[in-house]
Amino acid sequence: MSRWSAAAERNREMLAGNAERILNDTTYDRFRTPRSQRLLVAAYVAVVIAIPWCWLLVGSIAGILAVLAAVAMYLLLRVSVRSIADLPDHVLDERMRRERDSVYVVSFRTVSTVVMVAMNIAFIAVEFGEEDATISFDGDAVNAVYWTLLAVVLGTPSVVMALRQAADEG
Amino acid sequence: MFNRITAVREQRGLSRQEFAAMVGVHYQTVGYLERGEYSPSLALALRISHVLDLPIEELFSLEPPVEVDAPASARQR
Repeated sequence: MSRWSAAAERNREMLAGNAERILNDTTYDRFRTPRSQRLLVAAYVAVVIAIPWCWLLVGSIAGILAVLAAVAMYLLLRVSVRSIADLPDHVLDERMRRERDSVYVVSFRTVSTVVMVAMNIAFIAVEFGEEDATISFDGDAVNAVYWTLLAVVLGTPSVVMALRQAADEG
Repeated sequence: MFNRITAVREQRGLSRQEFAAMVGVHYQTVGYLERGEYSPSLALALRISHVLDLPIEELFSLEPPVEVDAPASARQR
């Protein structure tokens, strides 16, 4: 066995061990009730909306605080859905794999809709707005776009998973 | 799809966790199966029938299962 495949095998075993711990964890069950999951989703969406607002209208410090709040909400969301949306095939059973795959279909549609709506708004603003309108990016605007997109892309699968589990549990 | 997993599992004195470990799925998946909220693949259905040592058609059906322990009058209703 080469050094590379031995390391890959160790990594796979470590991941399987961690996944088993996460999947059987009961410490954070208070974040896994339908009410908690819906509240976490609402908080995450609010924080994601706050990111560009803070960067563009309030200032860099507020923007950084909004990003930190989004990271905290994202980690809590992952805990609430036991990270099923992010675990590899070999550590999930067939129901979880099916659920995860279906969640990614919905997530892809959601993210592509959000991005298309944003791009259409920018296109219409430039094309049909004032003459010679341009979109310019200063440092804060780049941060606003970067962190918002990152939060939407990374968080959407866990958001969809949390809403689905909350609906299943009633 | 309907199944008799809960009845047979309880008859054998198995907890959800024990049964899940024997079948090789997460215990929550057993809950989904028992509530009829998830229809297993053929492979999983065969594993369940093997673990419970019953023919697959005695565990799973397309019609609601008839309770064998119920009195005859109740079954006729």
